[in-house]
Amino acid sequence: MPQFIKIAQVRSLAPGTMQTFAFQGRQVLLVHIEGAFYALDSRCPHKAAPLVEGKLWGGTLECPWHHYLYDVKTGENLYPRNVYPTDLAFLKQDVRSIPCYPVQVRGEDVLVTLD
Amino acid sequence: MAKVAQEVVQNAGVDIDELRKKLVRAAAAEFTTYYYYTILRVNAIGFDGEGLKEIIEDARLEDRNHFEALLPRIYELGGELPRDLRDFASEAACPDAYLPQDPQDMKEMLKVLVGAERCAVRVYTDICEMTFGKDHRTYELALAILNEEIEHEAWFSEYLGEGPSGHFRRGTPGESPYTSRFLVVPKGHSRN
Repeated sequence: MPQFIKIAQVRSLAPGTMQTFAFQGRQVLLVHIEGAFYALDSRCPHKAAPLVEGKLWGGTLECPWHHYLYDVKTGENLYPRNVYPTDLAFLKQDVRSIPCYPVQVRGEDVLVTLD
Repeated sequence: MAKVAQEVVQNAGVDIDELRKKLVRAAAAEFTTYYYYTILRVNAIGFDGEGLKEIIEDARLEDRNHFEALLPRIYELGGELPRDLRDFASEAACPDAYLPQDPQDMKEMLKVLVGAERCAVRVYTDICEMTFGKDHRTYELALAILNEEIEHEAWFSEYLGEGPSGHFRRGTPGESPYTSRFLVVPKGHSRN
């Protein structure tokens, strides 16, 4: 059973915003979209840009340095993975997904597990 | 060194180091896009009466103009280009616009083009937002480039069948109607 631990209070993060939290020795990016919370690694898998300095376009997260786009709900790279030619295998490591962590909301608390 | 020009930007509350990085990344994206659009343009020959080739050429030349227009501002603000071209290219603010696996697939090529332009629109919107009301010179430059990137997006999007662009292509290739006033030599090297 994964152990969920409180990372923030619901009211600490307004809808459409994100914030980085130190959590069990890692930096976790917590994103609030339309009443739902999502937890992801705080660094872009491409070149380790701090994603909290990026922008949210609805459910899409834009990296601040190279403007890669990610699906907040799944961490999946949306751009440029959709246009990178599949025959250039070396590009695959550039378009890795952002690791995501399960989130639960219990009352006023947002809980995350890294298990 | 543009000492006062830097001071006024800093005193207005702009993180000048961050702005320099954004401008270098933007210049790198223009430089790499110019390179990749050259390949796309070459491979677009024959598509649809070569209409696509013509608008890729406009966008390609205007992206080169954007690189040229950004350079003076980077150095005015105390920034510089990396000594190594490979470092510069790897810092580009937008992903490389690779030729699709099947170079004959016009729709795939258009997806690459429209994706690159949409990235550029986000890049310059970000710089405009950072400098608006604070760094007037960078703002004007970024806004001029943004105007052209928005038009490029509209051209390629129109070609994809997403709706009309609302405007016609350039009178002369790579005309840069918004950015040319920022170029040191806006109309070639002739003094006539």
